[in-house]
Amino acid sequence: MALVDRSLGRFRRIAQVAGAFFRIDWIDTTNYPLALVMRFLNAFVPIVTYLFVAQLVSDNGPDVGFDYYTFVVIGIVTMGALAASLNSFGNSMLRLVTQGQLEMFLVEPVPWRTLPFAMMTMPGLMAVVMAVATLIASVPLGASYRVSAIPSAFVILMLGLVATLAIGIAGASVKILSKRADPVLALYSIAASILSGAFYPVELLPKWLQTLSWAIPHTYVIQALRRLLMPEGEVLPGPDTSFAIVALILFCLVTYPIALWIFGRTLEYGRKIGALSGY
Amino acid sequence: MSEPIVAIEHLGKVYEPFSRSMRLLLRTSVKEPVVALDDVSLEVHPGQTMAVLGPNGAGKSTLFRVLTGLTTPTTGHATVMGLDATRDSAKVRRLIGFMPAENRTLLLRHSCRENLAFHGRLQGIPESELHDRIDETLQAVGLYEARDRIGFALSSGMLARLMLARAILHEPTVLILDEPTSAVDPLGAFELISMIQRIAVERNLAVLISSHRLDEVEMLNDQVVLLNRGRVVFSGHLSAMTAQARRPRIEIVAEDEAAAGKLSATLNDVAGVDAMQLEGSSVFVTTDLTIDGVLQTLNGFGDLIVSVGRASPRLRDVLGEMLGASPEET
Repeated sequence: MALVDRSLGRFRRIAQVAGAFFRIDWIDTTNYPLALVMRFLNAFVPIVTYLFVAQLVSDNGPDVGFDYYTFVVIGIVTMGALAASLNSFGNSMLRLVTQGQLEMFLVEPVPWRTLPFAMMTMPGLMAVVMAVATLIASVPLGASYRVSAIPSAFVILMLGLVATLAIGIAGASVKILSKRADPVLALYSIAASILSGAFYPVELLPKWLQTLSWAIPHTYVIQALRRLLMPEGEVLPGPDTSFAIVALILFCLVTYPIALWIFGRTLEYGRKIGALSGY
Repeated sequence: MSEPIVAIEHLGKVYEPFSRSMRLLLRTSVKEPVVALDDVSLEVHPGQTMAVLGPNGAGKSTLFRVLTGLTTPTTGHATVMGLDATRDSAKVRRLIGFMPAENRTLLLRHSCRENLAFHGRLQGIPESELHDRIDETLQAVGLYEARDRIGFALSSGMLARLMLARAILHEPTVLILDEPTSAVDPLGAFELISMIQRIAVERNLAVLISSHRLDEVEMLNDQVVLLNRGRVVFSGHLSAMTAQARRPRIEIVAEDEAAAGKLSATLNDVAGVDAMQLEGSSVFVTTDLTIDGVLQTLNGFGDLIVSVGRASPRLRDVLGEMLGASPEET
């Protein structure tokens, strides 16, 4: 009973901290409506661009589910959503460092493990809303989706956001100390752009790169979403959706303890050397 | 005497130069180990205000950083209400209200109320109490009327008061104020210090405050710790500090301002007179000479002099004396 009470108390505390960050981010977002509109417009640019690129792709075979435009839109939207999860925490931490606010946050009695999740609530919500809005906007342009698969797609997208946040936490750890250099996220982003198959089927890559591509969560999320959402998704090569879910859960189980350990060690080291406030 | 709320024992902090691998990531100017704190011990009791004084780089901010858990000590330890500031950092941070020197630690695009609500939630104040407590705190610092104004629309003095409100919202036991008046005009600074004094008395807080404004320290008229190069040069009551002045300060009251001008011009050329200050018809002289010695130098001006006597030493002179000597000598 005591354990349940303690767990409940801890959950309430995490919810309160997450709520605090969400409210402050919400106010920040809604008080600058033009900036919000421009963000959405920016997100729509690639789906318009690829409408014309898709006209050049003559091979609409099973590798792209017989519809290159829908295939690439799902890739672009997923990349955008996962980029938010990957970069938001690091960017938020860097903003706190440069604005001189990080130390003030660390003076608050907030368990540091809750920070990445608490600070991700609003960016996470925005990533999902923008993904949905972009997919809807692509329908009149010729993309088609299976509406019945939306709940499963949502689960996959959430798992993908959680999995990439683990990499984001590791990257943010380096950013807290370095202030500028960001080798973890930079290298991962390069790898994800090439290996995840956002713009082309993974099967086009050389065999050895194909092996690497299945080592990153992006590939599983993009493939699973295409299989679920595309009307002819079942014909796409690669693992099925349940395999993708298991792979993403396993990825989280392995990477979270490592990422949180790195984050904790970074804060400790930053405290010791006095590098949390400089910029 | 009550138990100390803040107890610091033999605290030391050395910032080591970064390793080669760290230098790939981060720019640093530290080439040799920097001793920020060296064997610092002090106690602050409930209701006491301790002014932490010292030149830039004396170790004031590092001392506060150790107490707030922002850095770890190399040696010794600091406790707040018996809790170790490093080991029990999360609990200690609930007991501390911290006001940093820079107002950009506030969310300047958000209103006073939004700033305090955010801080209150991070501090774990229940939602049912939060809004009443915010209103009470804003009233206590005189910002209730400006509660919905955003940070960028507030003056420096108002921002300082908002930072004070943030520091006291969660009803801490200890207030740590790092140069709270650094961005505030003299009148605003006076009001802020009065406010801090009032709140500290009302809530029986232990207060640690650093400041470069000596008039504020005189206004607080409580405990003082003087740091220099990380070491404690003096610790005790302000009156005990000023009593340590080795060179006396003599006040010569002249008939009028013109007479005071003549006297100061004469004293200006006298050996042994180190500093002189004209205040209306009074001349204040810091000197190794005795009163008789001063009067002898003013022989012939007796009709211009109303009275001669010892004046209390200026805090600036006392600090200058103490910081000029090495810690071992004091």
